[in-house]
Amino acid sequence: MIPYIVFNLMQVVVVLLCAPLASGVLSRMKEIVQSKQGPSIFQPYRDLWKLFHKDEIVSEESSWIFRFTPYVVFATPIMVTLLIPVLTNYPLFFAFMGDMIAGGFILSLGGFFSTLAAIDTANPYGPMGASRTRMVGFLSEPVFMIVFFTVSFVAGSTIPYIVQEKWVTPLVFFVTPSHVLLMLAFLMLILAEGGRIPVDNPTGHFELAMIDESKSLEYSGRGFALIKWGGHMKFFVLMCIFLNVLLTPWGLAADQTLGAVLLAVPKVLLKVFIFLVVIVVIESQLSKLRLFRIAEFLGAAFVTSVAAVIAQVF
Amino acid sequence: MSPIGLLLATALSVCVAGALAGIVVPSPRVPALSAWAGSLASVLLLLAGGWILLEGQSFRADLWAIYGWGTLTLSLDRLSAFFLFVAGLVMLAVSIFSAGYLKRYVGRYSLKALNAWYLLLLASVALILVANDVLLFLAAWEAMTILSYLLVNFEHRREESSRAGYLLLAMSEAGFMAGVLALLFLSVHAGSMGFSALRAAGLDLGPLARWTVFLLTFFGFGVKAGLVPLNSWLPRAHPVAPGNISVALSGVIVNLGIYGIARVNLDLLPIASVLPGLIVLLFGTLSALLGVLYANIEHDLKALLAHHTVEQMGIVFIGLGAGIVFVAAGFPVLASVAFLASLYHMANHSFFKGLLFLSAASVDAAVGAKNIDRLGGLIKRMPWTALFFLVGAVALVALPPFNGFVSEWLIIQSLLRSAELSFVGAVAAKIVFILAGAGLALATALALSCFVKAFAMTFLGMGRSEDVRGAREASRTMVVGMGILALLCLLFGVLPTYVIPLLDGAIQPLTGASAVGALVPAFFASNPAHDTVPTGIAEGFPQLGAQIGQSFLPGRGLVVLHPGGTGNPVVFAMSTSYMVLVLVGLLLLTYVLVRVVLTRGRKSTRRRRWDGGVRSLRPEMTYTATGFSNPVKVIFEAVFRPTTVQDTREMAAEHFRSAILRERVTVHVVDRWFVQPVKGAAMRVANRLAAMHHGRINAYAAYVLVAMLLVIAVGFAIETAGGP
Repeated sequence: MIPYIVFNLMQVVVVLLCAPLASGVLSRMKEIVQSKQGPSIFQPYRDLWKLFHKDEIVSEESSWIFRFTPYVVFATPIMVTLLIPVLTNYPLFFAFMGDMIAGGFILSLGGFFSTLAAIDTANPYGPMGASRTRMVGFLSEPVFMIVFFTVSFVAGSTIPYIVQEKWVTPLVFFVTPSHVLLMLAFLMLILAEGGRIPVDNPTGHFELAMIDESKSLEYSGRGFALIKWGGHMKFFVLMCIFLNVLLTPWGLAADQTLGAVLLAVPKVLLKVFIFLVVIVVIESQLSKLRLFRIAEFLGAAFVTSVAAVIAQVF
Repeated sequence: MSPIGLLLATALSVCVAGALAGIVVPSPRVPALSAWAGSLASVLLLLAGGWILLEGQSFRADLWAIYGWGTLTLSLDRLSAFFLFVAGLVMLAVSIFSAGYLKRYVGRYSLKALNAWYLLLLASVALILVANDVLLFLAAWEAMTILSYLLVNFEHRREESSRAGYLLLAMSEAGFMAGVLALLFLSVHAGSMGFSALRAAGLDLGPLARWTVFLLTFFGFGVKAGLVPLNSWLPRAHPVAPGNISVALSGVIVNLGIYGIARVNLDLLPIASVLPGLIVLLFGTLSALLGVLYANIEHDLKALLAHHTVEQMGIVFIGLGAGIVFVAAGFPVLASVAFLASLYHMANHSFFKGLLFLSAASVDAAVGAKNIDRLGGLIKRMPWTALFFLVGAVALVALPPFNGFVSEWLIIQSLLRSAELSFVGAVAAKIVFILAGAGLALATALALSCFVKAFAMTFLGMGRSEDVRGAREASRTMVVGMGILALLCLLFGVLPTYVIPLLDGAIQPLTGASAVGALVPAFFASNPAHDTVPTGIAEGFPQLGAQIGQSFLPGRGLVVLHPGGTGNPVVFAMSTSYMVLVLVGLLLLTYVLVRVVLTRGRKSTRRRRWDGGVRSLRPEMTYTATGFSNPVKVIFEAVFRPTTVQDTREMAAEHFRSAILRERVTVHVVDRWFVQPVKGAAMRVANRLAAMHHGRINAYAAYVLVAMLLVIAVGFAIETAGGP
């Protein structure tokens, strides 16, 4: 039992420590593609360090919701980390606590509070971002559900540890139409939920065009640090689900030894790096969509996922 | 007399006595009387229901025989007991809340009438649930409908109350007629009015008769549950009733619609084909989607909640439909899971919707406004009400660890289990399940948007009108009433493994299979052999944390888990009990680490918010609910089809326009496509018939003669044919 607890905590530590790095690598690579030098890949850590050492300013109008939210936004991705395979391909101590659907609901708990906090400040731009985030949220939810249906039809289960092996045994299953379509749909979901181009621009500085960013405009100091860190972790967790469960369930530790689990860390990071390159290519090729064109983007994701599930049912 | 009989009899007598006593007690004392009598009766009903649920022994009693109609009988089996239990819990909270709330009506409307109707409504609800024959059931149902009308029309000087009341009465009576037809048809077939005779005689009915009964009862009783397309009355009638009555309507009366459908279609005449199940599933999905869409564009707090009732009942119907399909396809265990999820959600809906309506009533009582565009910033003036509304909202939008999450998660899981369907044409059924699942997901996400709007625009930010500034926290009884329901939302959320076995007792007689083994494996069994946990799971699971607490907690375990086969040992698993511990632990740990270790000594100061550079940011300039829900309005414009009535222009000079007022009217899609055509057709028929009324006495005498001859001829024909 003890190793299972230790490995589970190691997953949390890996997500905590590597999530800002992934964001740093992503922005650095994007800058390089744009022929700029860009900040160091460790910049997100420096930002967090700086924010933790600053005083905090809170809006007069705000209530306990505003002060409570950073902790929820920070805690929910960690909870999901306890449920999913980050390093191992066998279930760990807390694996029974929820399946993929429960994980989705846990993440939306954080989202719910961050939208509330955006309105709590009485800042004019907060509610705008909240309203737009919800638009992206409710458009992507049906796609998530169809993905779960496809997964459930293939694996007969929604537990990520059980699902991960089914897509690639035998290896031919990897290129079945439903799997390919499903990967495409989920990729579009990650772009939308992670606030990447073409849905949202995480590096934008123009309040009227912001979606996700404008929710945290009023935050400063430690609150802002927690929100930022939580955001990095949420993106990292989504990538882990995509890479370790749906797309490439290789490279995870199969043995219950510390060495095997430690060895899985660079392998998983390599997979994340390759995926980040793909995202950089996508982000550099596309431009941000107009707000109400996002409905078309996610509509396309929905049609793709429905095609995937129908290919699976027949 | 058995203890259950005594409890029921006392509860009914308390209701009647309270209603009568209200006539002699002076008006200012009536709220207290209402609260005491209502709470006492609710507790008694709650005890009766809880007893049956725990003991499992059904209660039966014959009342008296009515010549020509058979005997009136009462029975409380575990299905009714569960509904009674839920109704008792909700009504207890409402009754306590009423003590403080009703004071606002003193001197304005007749509290004596309100007290009488309220207590009699409680009695009629209990009677419907314990009735064991058609006559008593229908009589109690009719009493319940009329009392709901009287309560909705309580503030009778307001025109919208009267209009909503009449609409309620008309649609409920139409549905009631359908129910009467179906039940009388079954009674004629059985030759008796008793439910047990109906059950026995139903076995040899043909498919046509079964379809007729199903359609009549599904849509007939569905009216009470706000099933689309029979929902137009609900969002109009529920909000105009007094706050405590809205809870009774949305938390208790809607459940009776489910009860009627379940009693007839799952118990008296069990459905044995797939198609009715798919129909239920389809209409459930439609209700869920349309309910939540209209909730999003609604800005009256109570009407918004009423639209959500339509949505939540749709989700309950989705579970019911899935269960019916599983029964027909020969998966009794999965059917039990689906029915259980559905009834669980119905109970949860009663709690969180009751809580939300109570908080809305509290806001309404404190501010005097229900339009959320005019509210804001109330969290500082009404902290308890705000907290309770937040709990209700989190529960309704199915976020862990509250109760709505558990039941909605179970409903989603039972939809996902459609993977196991394998009859001819199962592919089509699966696609219906998938679309229902996608619809459910969209509805849930839209509900989340809607409650972000409802909570944030009411309680957060700046107050957007003068009324808000004078608001004060609700009185103590009101807070206690809300607190009870908030606690129930939490308990039913974090302790699902204790609720599921209770509910299973109510479901088991319907499907013949228990869902406990399929949902709550005995992780806490002291027997090391794990008699009910499959070996594949029993071997792997000691490594995981599912047995924490085994030594000191009673019951089977704290994990909801569905075991599968060899390839997939676990189909789904979830535990809100452990989840809440981990979440609280993580939050505390983060707090301590950040506050004490990482940022000790850092100051936190309060300043004005950043206002984007304008000279002064006034409350009117901040985002409103209308703006917040605009994306929904734009994206689903094909459903809403708003029409612009007229633009009012304000001119400062001839060519200088200073303001345009644009009014847009949205007619509910159900009204547009269903209610108005039906109403139009009825009016056309009535107009034709009106031609008969031309005022000539001779002609009227002729009508009478013709009618009499017709009756005689028909009677004679039946007599010679040897009819009944």
